[in-house]
Amino acid sequence: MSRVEWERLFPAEIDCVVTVPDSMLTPVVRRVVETTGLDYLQTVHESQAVAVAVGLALAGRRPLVCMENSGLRAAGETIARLVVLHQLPLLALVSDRGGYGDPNWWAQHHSDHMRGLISLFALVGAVAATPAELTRALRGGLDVVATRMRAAVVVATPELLEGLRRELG
Amino acid sequence: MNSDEAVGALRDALGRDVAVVAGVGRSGWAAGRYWPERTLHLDALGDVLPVASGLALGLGPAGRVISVEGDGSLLFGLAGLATLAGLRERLHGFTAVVLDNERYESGGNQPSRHFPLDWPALVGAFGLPLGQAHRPTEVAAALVAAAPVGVLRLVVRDEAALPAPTGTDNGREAVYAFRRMLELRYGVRPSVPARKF
Repeated sequence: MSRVEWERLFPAEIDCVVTVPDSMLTPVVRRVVETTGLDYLQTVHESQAVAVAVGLALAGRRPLVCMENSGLRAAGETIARLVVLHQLPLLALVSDRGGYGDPNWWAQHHSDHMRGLISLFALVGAVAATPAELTRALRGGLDVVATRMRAAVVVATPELLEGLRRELG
Repeated sequence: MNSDEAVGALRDALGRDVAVVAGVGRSGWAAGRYWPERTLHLDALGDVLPVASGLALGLGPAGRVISVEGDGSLLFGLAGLATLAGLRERLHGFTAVVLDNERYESGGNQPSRHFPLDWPALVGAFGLPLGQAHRPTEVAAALVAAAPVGVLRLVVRDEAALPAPTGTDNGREAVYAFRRMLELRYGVRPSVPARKF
């Protein structure tokens, strides 16, 4: 992985991160926040993160929800109500836990359920395996959300997040 | 007092220039009656408070935002109090209004709890101020007690049945109307025009 341009990893249009901490994703997000001064809101549950982001977006902000992929499951009812039923926009970045080769027993179904939920809720999903793909996918997600028709989820692969965390030292 | 009297007194205290995020059922009906063009009705039990909190944060000092929901909805999404407490220092004024009838009225008037809920302890645990009113004449003072960012508990009992819904907007149309209000009142522009390549 070439040197990461932390200040450009997230598109500048994103003006707020709303999150539930996740050990894979949070160190990366924190570095982006520290580098850019991006607004950072931490919540106690993924349903709260989704709902707060929806409220921010109604006010014209461009939030990014950052969470573990199981957060889609935890926030399922809120997504079904706000994002699907009321067609309120959401852009999310999730870590992909539970994929092939994940040694954690507790994560085994996370990735399968994530894919099922993205399909079930008709979210637009993209996978990012490199920093450039991440930036591009988030930009594309902003465009999708700006239509106010659908929500977008960017899935960060474990390899991408591991490489980014290595860059942190 | 009943819900109509409670929210009517709140409308007198707050005025018209408010953005309201409300649930459905009795609380949504009452909010929509007094702020018909300012209320977003969300069919999302437990999500009313965090959506309203996010809206208030996004609008900043220009927007006076309240959430209006029943006690059943608040209990369903108690984590919303943690969210509100976390945002407390960043909000310029926000009131989480709870119509407490101790009932799931929409579900057939079942009790919403089988224990005495200690409201000051509950709200105080999150470091938030609580205002409580049992009569319309107490609402204005309770609103002040809940300031600048806090919970206003309106204790209500409704004898008359909830009127049958007359609104025709579905959830998406309600959002559309609320967006137009946000644009006209607060200058929130739709994010992008449609593009052709």
